[in-house]
Amino acid sequence: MNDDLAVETRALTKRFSRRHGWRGLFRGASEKIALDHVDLAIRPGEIFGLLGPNGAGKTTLVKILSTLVLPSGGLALVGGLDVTRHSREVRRRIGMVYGDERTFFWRLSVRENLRFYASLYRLPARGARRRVDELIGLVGLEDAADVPMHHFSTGMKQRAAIARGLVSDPEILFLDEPTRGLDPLAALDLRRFVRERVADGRRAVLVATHMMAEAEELCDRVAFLNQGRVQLIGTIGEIRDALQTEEAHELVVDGVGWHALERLRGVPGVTSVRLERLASGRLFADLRAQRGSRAVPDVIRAIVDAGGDVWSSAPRELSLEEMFAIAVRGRSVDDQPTLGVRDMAAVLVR
Amino acid sequence: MSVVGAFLRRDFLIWSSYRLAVFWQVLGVLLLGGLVYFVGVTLGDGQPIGGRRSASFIAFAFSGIAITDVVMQAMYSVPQAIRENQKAGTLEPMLLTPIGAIALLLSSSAFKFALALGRMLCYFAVGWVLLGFWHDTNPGAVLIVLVPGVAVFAALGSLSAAFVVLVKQGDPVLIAYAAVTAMLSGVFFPIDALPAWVQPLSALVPLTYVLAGARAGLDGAPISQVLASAFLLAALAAVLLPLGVVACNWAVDRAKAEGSLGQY
Repeated sequence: MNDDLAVETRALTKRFSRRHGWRGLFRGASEKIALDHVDLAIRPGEIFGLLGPNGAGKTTLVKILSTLVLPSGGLALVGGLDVTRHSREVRRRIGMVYGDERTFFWRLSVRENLRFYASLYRLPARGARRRVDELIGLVGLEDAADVPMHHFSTGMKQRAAIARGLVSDPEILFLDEPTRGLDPLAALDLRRFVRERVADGRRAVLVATHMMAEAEELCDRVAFLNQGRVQLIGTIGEIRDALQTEEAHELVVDGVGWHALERLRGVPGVTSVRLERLASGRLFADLRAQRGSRAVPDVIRAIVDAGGDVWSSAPRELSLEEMFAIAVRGRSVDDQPTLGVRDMAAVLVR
Repeated sequence: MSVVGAFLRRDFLIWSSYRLAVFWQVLGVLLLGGLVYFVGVTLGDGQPIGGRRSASFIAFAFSGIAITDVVMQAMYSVPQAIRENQKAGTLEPMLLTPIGAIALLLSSSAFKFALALGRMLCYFAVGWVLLGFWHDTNPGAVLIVLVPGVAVFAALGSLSAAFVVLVKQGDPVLIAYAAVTAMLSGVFFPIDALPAWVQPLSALVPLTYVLAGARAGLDGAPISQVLASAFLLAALAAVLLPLGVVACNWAVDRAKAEGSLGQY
């Protein structure tokens, strides 16, 4: 075990027993594996993303690390401390930001809420007041500091949640779906805020999210979690390299018909073609091809041979969103079979 | 600020944010007090109950209501606070702080208990100042039964809180127990008024000893006269309190294992 790590898990496993209705009392419980031998190592100062679809086990992992759920097996260390044996000491070192709005006393102001939580961390009264004022300034809620929180917008509540997560100046901050419910602009604003103001180079931040853009914008490294298993860990670049089994290419074409272009799917290496007619009457083709194949020049040659004109041709970088779909569903977003989930294990970065 | 102080401050701020909160509290005390008073007058108050000096119906009922309110709040406020925080979504964030589960349970219930103490003092003040009751009160004798009595009911409340943490709903056993307790222990009427076959059951209800001891203290009885009730209640508290603590800790651990701590 490495004491210098902010978070470390070894073969961390969580199984939930589920009893269904009255019959479950007599028939015994069914079991669901939420986490399956998860190994992670997060360094101090790092912003680490836990990525995965709904039900992947992200929240369960965050809750185990924050002592709210007990693991079924394996080991989870936070700041070098076992979360099951030293839960109170672990809780002193962590902060949590929920994406759920219902975690505040809404009839109280953000200042009163923060003062209350500061007391639970046993901060001395004067120090607590100073800390609360500082945090309210940090999250930009000075003007609304004494307004009951039921008057707050979702974005303001999220800022308040960040302030609460920082009350004890934690070594490790967990953000569980921090932009849930926010409009795109507010989400962008919040991510920028986390990157610029919350991450201080000393504090580790663990972000659980299902949004690629969020991970891409925020995180130094990410782990893909699916069905309770970590499938990939690495920097965004490493993940991109490992996941990018396809290349995308955009073409604008004239002089050939829709059906002729659809036949391009038969060109070796092409995995999918999506067509769209532009206002100019030309056809736009979003081409997917196996990485490293000769599909793109072969397609262009085929169009020209058929008497068509290629007005533009440009490679497009696949978004993490698209790669995520490939990794999780084992197929591209166009439902073309590509890479299976099991194959992903073979491309573990580290 | 201490943890209990923080909870008291939080709950006071929430309570006082409802504009009519104080009004309803005062109105509740006045209406119930007035009801008891006029029933007493109608019954021809002044006739001693059970041969005690100030044990008129009004004094009897006032003391019964006030003391029962306090011990019942000791029992109800813990599971109620847990349930309210479950529903509000604030239980998990509080359990994420270094505060222990038991400290959280007791602190969460402190304000409601303090309100009940305030109501009790109101009833006593009205009885003492306006109606001339309890001028010979022996506060030591009252406290020596009231404190362990509150501890017994707080322990029962902790057991109920464990139920709420696990099952995510109010404890129906507690509600039934409270109703039976109020009926058998002599809150509004002396136990003698119950059918003869029911009267022995009163001896099984802790509130009976709290009320009998506290009323004796209010009438000026020496401590020695209430010691037996005090010892009995203290012994019961000594058994039930550790059980309550163990049950609560077990329930929280169980909810953590199930992953249901934040559910409602």
